[in-house]
Amino acid sequence: MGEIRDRLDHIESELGQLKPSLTERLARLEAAAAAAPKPPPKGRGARLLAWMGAEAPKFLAAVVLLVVTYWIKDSVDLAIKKQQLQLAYSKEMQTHLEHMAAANADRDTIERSAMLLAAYGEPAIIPLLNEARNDGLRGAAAESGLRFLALTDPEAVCRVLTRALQNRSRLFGWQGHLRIVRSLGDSGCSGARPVLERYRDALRAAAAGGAADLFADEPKADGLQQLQQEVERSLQRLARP
Amino acid sequence: MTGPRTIALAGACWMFALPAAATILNCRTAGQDGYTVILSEPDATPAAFKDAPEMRRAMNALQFVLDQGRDGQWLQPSNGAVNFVFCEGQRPVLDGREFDKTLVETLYNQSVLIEMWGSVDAEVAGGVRSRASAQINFLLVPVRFAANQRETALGGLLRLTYPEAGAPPTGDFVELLARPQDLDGFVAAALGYKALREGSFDLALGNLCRSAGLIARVEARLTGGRAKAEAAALRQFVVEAAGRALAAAKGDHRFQHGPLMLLDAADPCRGSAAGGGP
Repeated sequence: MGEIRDRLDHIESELGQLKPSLTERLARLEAAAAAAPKPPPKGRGARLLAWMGAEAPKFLAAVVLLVVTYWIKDSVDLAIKKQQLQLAYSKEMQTHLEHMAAANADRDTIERSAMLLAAYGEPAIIPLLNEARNDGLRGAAAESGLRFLALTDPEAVCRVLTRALQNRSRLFGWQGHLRIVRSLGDSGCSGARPVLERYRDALRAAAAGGAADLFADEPKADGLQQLQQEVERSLQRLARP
Repeated sequence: MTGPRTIALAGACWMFALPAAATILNCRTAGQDGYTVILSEPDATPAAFKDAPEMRRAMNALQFVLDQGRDGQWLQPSNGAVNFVFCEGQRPVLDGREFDKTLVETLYNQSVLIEMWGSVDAEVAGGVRSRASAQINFLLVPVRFAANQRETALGGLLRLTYPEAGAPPTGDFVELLARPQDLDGFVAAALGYKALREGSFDLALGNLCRSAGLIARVEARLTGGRAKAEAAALRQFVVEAAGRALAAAKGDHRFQHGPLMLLDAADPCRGSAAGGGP
């Protein structure tokens, strides 16, 4: 018992010798605590989350589902509207195509129909290209229509015409090729230059008696010559700055 | 006595005589399988034809005679015959301004050799038509195409009047227009020049030389003026083209052992099978 008392006395004497004293240290800590900055006030969202408590995840899941559903519905609506528009375009374009193909159609009617087709923009490229396969007034009018269309949508026209020229399934006769080549030059399809240069090589090979697998028909020497001249003209046009 | 019926009839006649709005149609052609001469509807006075159906009957008869009822004097190509086609409803204006570069290229690539159009008139005595007359335009499509390519200064358009001087008068338009050999000369010229561009040099030479002789007769018949000068220029053009055809043939291995090698390049039509020259 006496030993414990001795040890307590020893500790108290040690504490009494501390500088600063325990009392002073406590006073400093309390003062520092009083001077510390207050935590920032919580935001509305945080307060809302805090208010919602355990219901917050369910609420967030519902909101995400709503947004996703709305987005999907919007895309579907857009796709349906696009389909409806294309259907309407097809019906309207069919009328113009029938005017172009009518047995007694005169030049003015055919050219006017081709211009009206061109006004439909990108959806009219394929019908016009198909018309360009014809000889006679229809083909010439379709070529004119494609060039007008290139004024408003050169990227689409150049892309399709370039691919048409690369096509090796004999989809077009030589007159169709002539129209495509000329349209590429007139429409400023500068990206088509490498294709035209390769096409020029293929024409040279065909003119020299090589296999002419380019056309649906067999052009005479004069047809090949016209094509070669037109390729050169188009390349010259596209070389201009 | 002027009744309503007379007025209506006169009105109908007046309307038919009016120059119709120019119309160019997508006429049927032989395409790659032959060559085509297109006959368009002429502008007609009421004395020439009382109505459009009568005119069309006459044009169909003319087409038949030209296509089936006579032998043309041109050398027939082996790759397809020359066909005459009446293009019902097509009526170009007299000066031919519709035949622009695009249309001419289209026609050329459809192997159209000649477009024929014009105007017709007649005298009527006792209800019978007599003294039919016509002014006919001949557009030689290959020559006009070459002009558009800046290969020649010749326009390829000839305007001739019929009946030709000294010919007996007739009231029959088929007889009036099918009889002259002018058309044969123009077909031979157009076919020859087209064949030259297509690399058929023997066909080209034969037809060009033959046309030179036929056109020389047209030139001799004409008394003067623009038509005579145009015929002379065309004859000179076909002779030059014949020289080009012979020169091209001499440089082409396909003709190295043929009779063309014997001809003189300085006078290509002398000694050719077709003859030629005035």
